[in-house]
Amino acid sequence: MSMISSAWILAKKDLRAYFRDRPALILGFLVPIALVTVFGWIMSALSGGSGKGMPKVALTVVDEDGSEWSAHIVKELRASDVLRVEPKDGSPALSRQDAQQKVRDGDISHALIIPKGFRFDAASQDSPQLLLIRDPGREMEQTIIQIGLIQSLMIASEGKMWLGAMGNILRDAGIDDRQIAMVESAGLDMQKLIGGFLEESRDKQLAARDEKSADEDRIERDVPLEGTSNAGSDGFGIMKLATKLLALKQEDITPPSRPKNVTYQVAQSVSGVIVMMLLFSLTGCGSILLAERENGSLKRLLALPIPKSSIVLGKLCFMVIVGLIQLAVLFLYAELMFRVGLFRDPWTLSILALSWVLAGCGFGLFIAASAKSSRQADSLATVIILVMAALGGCWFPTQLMQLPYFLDLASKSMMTYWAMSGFQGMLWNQLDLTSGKMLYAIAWQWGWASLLVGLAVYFFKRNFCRG
Amino acid sequence: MTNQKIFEVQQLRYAYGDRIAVKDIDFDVRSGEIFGLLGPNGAGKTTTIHCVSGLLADWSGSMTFLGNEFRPSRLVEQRRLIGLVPQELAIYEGLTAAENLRVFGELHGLRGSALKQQIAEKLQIAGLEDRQRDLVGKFSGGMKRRLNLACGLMGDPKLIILDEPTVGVDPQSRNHLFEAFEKLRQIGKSVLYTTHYMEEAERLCDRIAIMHEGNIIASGTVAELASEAGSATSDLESIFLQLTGRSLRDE
Repeated sequence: MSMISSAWILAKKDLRAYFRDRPALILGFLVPIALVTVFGWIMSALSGGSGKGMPKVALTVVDEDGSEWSAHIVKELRASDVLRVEPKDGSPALSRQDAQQKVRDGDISHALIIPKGFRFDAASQDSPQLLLIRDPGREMEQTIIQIGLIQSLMIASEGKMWLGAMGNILRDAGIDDRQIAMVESAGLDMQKLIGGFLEESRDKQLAARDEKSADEDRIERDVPLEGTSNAGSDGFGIMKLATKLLALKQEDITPPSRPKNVTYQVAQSVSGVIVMMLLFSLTGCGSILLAERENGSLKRLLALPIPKSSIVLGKLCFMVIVGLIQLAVLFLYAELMFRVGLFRDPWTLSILALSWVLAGCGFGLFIAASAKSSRQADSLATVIILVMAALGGCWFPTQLMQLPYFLDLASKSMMTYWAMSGFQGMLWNQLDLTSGKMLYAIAWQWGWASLLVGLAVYFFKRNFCRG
Repeated sequence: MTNQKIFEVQQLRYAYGDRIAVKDIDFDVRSGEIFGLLGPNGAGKTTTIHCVSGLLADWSGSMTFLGNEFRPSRLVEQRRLIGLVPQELAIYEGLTAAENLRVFGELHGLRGSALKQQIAEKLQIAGLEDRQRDLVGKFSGGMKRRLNLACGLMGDPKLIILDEPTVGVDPQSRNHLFEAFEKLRQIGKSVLYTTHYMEEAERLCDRIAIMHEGNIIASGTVAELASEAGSATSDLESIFLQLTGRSLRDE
């Protein structure tokens, strides 16, 4: 028989067996579909769901002025292509103290306070200035927020802010008010001229786009045109410029104990990897239960004079110990490599680690007890862990995602979300066990651990202890 | 061998859904005897020993151990009376032989010198004294089978259940296992032995029950079975085929 004939016979045999294994077949097709769907959503959410390639970043706005004028500013901020203003329309407003606390807890990165009596045209003189409360380490969000603020506030002030700011700069340079008034007048003329030019240019570009794609007619008034979205690169000190232009005061909230070399990205990566990899590892440990069933040793254990639930408890103990050792090694390595200050607060670290290990063990045991075979457990666990990791913020900060309501709810229900919240809270915001946010994150993990261990015991009795 | 019944089963019945696997069977095991459950594939042998060892709970009928009602699936302490040696190699390859025995000894509640003594005894029965510190993963199939038996003996159970204990074993190891089974009988242990190897049953078992389609169709010594089958020969294989027929069986 030729090599090709024999190869074809073998291939046919494999194909027959492959297509007969229905569960494997379904998983083989469903897994990629599920992953494509979830990651498509997430990537779309990262770009604001608009497909414009620019993420919308959350900016919490506190309107202390409460006037029509401040409402106009908020409206323009909401219309921004790059900002996602919180709280949403109709949601309860926050106070300045709430915003400060949220920045301190790491729930938000930036909050804009519109103080009572704020006016653009007098901003540079005696009226209160806009206040940006920020976590200065959140650089990625910061650049985008600055762009959004400049765009939106310039539109809201109809150019007055620009002139006021320019007057300020000239006054600082020692030029008297009469000359400043002349410059401002010339500036108004210039503004009209440039405004007209920009309008014309915008119309031309829109027309060109319309021609290019007749069905792409969803472009809104404020769609940034080519070149404009890159204008805010911080390479030329946009924050300095923004504070001058916007008459913006800044209030930085940085935990004093945060190590100087820790960046938000490092804290995010260390937390994300710890959270995700531990799940994979503990699921592997849990599958020993399935291996014991498959090799017959579980049969012997079930016939021993021991309570049947002690078999599950024994596995849980084993997994907890392995998980804690793995976390200790990961922590040590992360500390040596990145100096993230993990051991600053051993109590918080220990309780957080134990909470996540318990939740991870619950997950691993649940998968092992509910799956029919090791193969099924492996496939299920991979899909679930990847989805939970993505939605829980292990790969990208959830604050950068603009998820649809149900996915946002799903994200906030995931055990990975709360683990990330805890680890990020500890590493970045330097939260400890006195923080409500930290305790809440720990409580969620214990809740998940209890639920999953309970389910694992139930499925173990149902699937492993027949009769 | 004495005639004292230590374990008795009456009207044992078990069904997987609509399919009745064991149909109201009666048998008993006496002190110091090897009682064989012999039958073709799918006869109900494994289901029977799963009921006896507590792996299955929803059976009907009655079981008594030394005159007391026996419900090993529900009463943990009753499981101390039995030692199951499954057909599979239910041992841990990542541990040494001695560590395997230690695990099962500790799960039987043994500690200290009692545990050490039992480990030494069982290693001797399995003929693995010299290899006790070796990882089981490096053992031959026969050595693993012997260790599988030794693990089932930890805790000194009164009734040892051997489910096809010689599957895939080379002649030397099989012979060693036979000697070990005979030694168990000599020290007064009772054994419930399932197999479909006729020569094994003939050589080892004091009494044999032949199972067929969930029923016990004949039981007794080989001579009694021959008489019951009306067979001119005392060859167990001929008796077995006469009683169960010659058609092929599926699991």
